[in-house]
Amino acid sequence: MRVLIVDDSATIRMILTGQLKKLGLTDVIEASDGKAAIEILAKHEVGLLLIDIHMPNMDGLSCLELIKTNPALAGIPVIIVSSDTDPTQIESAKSLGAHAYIRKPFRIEALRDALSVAFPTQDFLGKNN
Amino acid sequence: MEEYALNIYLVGSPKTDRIFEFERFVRAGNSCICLLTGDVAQIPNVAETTAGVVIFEDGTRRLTECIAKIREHTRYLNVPLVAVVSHPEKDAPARLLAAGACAVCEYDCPNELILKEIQEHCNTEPVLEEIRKQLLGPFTSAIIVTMKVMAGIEPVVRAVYQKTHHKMFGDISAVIGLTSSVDGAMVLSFPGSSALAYTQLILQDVVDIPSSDIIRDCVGEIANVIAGQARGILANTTYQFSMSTPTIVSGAGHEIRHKPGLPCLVAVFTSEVGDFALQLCLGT
Repeated sequence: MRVLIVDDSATIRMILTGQLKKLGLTDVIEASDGKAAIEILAKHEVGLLLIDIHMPNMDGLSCLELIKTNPALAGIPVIIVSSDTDPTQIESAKSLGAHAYIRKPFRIEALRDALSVAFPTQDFLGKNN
Repeated sequence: MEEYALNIYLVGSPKTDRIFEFERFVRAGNSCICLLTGDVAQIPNVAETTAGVVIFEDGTRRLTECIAKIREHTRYLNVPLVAVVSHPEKDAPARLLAAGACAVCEYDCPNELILKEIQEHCNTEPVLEEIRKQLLGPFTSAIIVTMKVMAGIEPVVRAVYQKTHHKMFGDISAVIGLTSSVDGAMVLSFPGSSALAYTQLILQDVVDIPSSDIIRDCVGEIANVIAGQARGILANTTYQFSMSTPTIVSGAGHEIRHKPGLPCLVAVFTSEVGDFALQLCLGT
């Protein structure tokens, strides 16, 4: 399964890539904002999206809305990864169709739990990490 | 650490009469304790209990190195450092100020002027307990949690004081605008070595030797996560705020200016991999 990480921070993209690898997801592509993510989604098949909220050009919630209103993309599970603790933002993300919300800073366990919500029947590696 | 004891270090060659003249003046008119040393190697003792350092030197080349060394040991602490120079070259004051001096005086200036510079730059304002608890506390908690989760390190607070100048003495800072009823800012400043060490810990499974761009990005993300955490803790309080994305400022001795009139608090953190400082300006 190919995973698309959308975050303007290279640090977070690298941390997520490393953690996904430990969980057995090695096919990872990256975008630094929502606009770039939409362009990638038009060209590549993606099985999971990890999206930050606050980004330049197009924020995560706008990107999420575009994805969920596009029938070709609406079925892709989306996990929000953000430092935003505002309950209204979290609620907005969920009402737009996000499967899970990971709050930064996060450990690999939080990512694994979110993956289990998005893919309930799938077993991810790294249980003991 | 809200206050400093009134110790003034005098640094310079013992054969310089000007030092003894100033020492006699300080001892006669003040309760200061003067410690005379011509040996820069003894300067590591200059720390939290020092009200100020006065350095007397004939040539500015060694003085620049001496100031930089003292700043290294007092990193982020608000210790006033006055350079007293004979026959300074035209660009010497600017160079000495850039190295970390807070004032440059000439050899023949009155002793009162040197002492006044120390007193004016000395941190005399303790952080009010209420502000410390209600504002600094949440940011401190956010820093400890963030560093623990991201880097596996639990930093501790080494000093807290109210800032009287704009210099941070850091090499790299992340600035995040905080908007409440008035605009303020959160600044997280690292010496280069600390920034590298924290980046290596955070990206230990991903990058061996991070580039300067990665270090800058990492410092920005640390600040972003800390501000986000603190924002959640302070929601629905008098200090609630919204925040901007981080901007990175770098360069030794860089200054971060803040709005006049706003209390500007500094908390210095330390851990086994190095120090860093939080600067916080936020109105209610």
